[in-house]
Amino acid sequence: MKRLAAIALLVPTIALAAVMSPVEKLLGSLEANYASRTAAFSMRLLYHNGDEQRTAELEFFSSGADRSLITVKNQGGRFLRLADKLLIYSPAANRPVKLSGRVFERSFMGSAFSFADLMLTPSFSGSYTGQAVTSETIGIVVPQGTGEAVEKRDCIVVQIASRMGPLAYRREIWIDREINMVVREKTYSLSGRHLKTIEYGDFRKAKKRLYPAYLRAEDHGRSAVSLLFVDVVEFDKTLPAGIFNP
Amino acid sequence: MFALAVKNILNTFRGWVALLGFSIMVALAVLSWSLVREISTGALNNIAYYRSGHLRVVDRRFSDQLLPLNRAFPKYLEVEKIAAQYPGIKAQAERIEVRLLLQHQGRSAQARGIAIDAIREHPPWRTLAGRQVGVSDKELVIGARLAKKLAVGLNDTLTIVTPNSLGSLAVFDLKVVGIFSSGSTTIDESYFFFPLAAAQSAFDLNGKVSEVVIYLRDARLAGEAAEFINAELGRVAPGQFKVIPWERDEAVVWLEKGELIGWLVGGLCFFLGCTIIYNFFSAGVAGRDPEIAALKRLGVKKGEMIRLLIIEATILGLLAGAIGGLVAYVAAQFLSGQQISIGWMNLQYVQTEIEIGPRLPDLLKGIVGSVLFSWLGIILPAWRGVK
Repeated sequence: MKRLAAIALLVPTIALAAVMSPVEKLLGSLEANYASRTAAFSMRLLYHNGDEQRTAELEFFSSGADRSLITVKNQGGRFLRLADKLLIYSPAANRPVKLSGRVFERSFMGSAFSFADLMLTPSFSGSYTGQAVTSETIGIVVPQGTGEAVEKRDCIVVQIASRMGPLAYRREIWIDREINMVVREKTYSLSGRHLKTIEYGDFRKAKKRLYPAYLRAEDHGRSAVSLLFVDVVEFDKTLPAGIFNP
Repeated sequence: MFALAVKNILNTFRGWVALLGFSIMVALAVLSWSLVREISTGALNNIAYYRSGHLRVVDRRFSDQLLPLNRAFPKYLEVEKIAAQYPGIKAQAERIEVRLLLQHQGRSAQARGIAIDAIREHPPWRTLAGRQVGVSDKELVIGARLAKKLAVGLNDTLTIVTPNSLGSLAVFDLKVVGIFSSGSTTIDESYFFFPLAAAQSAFDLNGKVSEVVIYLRDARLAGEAAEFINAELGRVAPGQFKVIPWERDEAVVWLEKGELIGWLVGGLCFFLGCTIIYNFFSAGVAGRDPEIAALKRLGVKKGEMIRLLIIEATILGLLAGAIGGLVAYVAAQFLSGQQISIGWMNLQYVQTEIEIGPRLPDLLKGIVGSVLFSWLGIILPAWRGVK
C-alpha cells in the first residue's frame, strides 16, 4: 500500500521533470539562488532629480516571498509590501496609504528602480516562460561603486515572456554561467519598446550565498540612471517581531 | 399737439393694451440682454481666472493638454521678464496644475488642483467658510460642491496620492482651510487650490512650474500681446514655449454664439413690440378717419399730422421703455441668485448663479430701442392715414 502511495506521488514529479524544458529548469535553478527565509540589507540609492543628485539610505527587510519592507532612514517614510498590496507611510501624510495593482511598476522614490525591482522576490519559473537561449560574453562591474573596472563573464542569455497579469512584458536576462546569477536584465513593453536595463555587479558572499552589491538601473523612458549600493547584508536573520505589521 | 398725442394714447383702452404689450416686450429684451451680458462676463472672468489668465504661457509640446509634471519648467522668471516687455501687462503668476483623485473617508472624486502663489494671485471667488490658502503650508481651499461630495469641512485633512514629477508616488496631506463658491457649478464641484510652494515640494518640482498666466489691463489685446510675447520668447528659447490668448478657448467661442442669440432674442422682442405699435396705429388711424378729415378741412398739413403721429409713437415708446425697464429691473431682483440649468450646453465656466440686475446701459438701450421700433411701427399707418 505504502509503495503504491509512493509511486503515486513519484509519478507526477518525474512526469513534470520530464516535460520541463531546459530553459524552465535553468530558471528554476536560478530562482533557488534568490530564495531566502529572511533578509536584511542596508543600502544606498543614488538618483537624480534634474541636475540634483540625491542619496537615500535604505533599510530593506524581507520574509519569504510575500512580505518586504523598506525604510528610508535619511528622508523618512516606509514602504511595506504584503503580497500584492503596498502600504506607503509618508512623512507628509498622517496615515498610511494602501495601494495595489500596477503600483509596483512605479518608480521607487523617483529613481530608475521600480517598487517591483526592489520589493518583489525575483520569480522566473513561476511568472515567466522561457523562449530562447543564446550565449554572450559581457563585462560586469567588479569593485563596488566605481563602475569602471569590469570583468568579462560568460553568460547565457534567456528571453522570457510573462505568463500573466501585472508582469505584462518581455524580459531578456543574462545569467552568469559560473555563479548562476542574473548579471543583466532588459525589460520590454508588450509593444516591444525597451523600458529598462538593470545591471548587477560586485557579487559578494554572505552565509555562503552570493548577492550583488552593486546595481545600476537605466529607465529608458525617462532617461534616468540610478545606482544602488548594498552595504550590509544578513540572510536568514531573526527579524524584530511585528516588523511587517501594517 | 403733445397734449393731444397723450390724450390719443391714454384715452383709449387699445392705447393702454398697446402700451402694456410693448412694455412687456421691452422688459423681455432688456432681461435677455442683461442675462446674456452677465453670463458672458461671468464666464469670461471665470475662464480668465480659473483656466487661462488672459494669456497662458505653456510648454509648446503640451499646449492643448495638462502639462505632465515631469515637463514642468524652471525658467519661469525669464519668461516673465520677457513677457513684461509688453506694455499692457497687469500681473503675472506661476501655477502648477494637476488632475488627481481626492479621497476622504471612503468617498472619492476626480478634481483639478491649481497650485497658486497666494501673494500674487487674488482669486475672485466668494469664501463661504475659512480663509484663502497661505504661501507654503500644506493646505487647500476647496469648491463648495466638491467639499460636499467628499463630505469635508474646515480643518479636515485630505490625503493625496498621485504620481509626482519623477514618476514615483507623491503621498501627502492637505488640510482644508477654506471653502469657496465661484458661482459656476463645474468649478465648484471639481476645483481646489493649494499653495505653489507646497505643490513644488510634494511633487518634487523645486523651482519649477507648469505654466505662467498673464493678466492684461485690457483683455481685448490678448491676441496682440500673445503675438508679441510669442515672438520674443521664440527668439530667446526657440520652440520651447507657446503663448495662448484666452480667445482661443472653446468656451469663449461658445459664449460669442450665446451673446449673438441673446441679441437676436432681444431683437425679436422689439420686432413683436413693433407689430403691436403697427396694429395700434393702423386701427387708430382707421378709427380716426373723421378726425383726420376734419383736421384736413381746418388746413392742418400732412407734415403736421405725421408729426402728431410721431409724437404719439415717441410718447408710447418712451413710456414703454420706462415701464419695461422698471418691470425688467423688478423681475431681475426675483431671478437673481437663482440656479439656472445650462448643463445641456456643456459650458464649463458659465455662472449658474448670476446677478442679472439690468444696468443703466441696458435700460437706456431698452428706451432708445423702444422709441426707434415704435417709429418703425407707425411708418405704414401714417403713410396710409395721410394719403
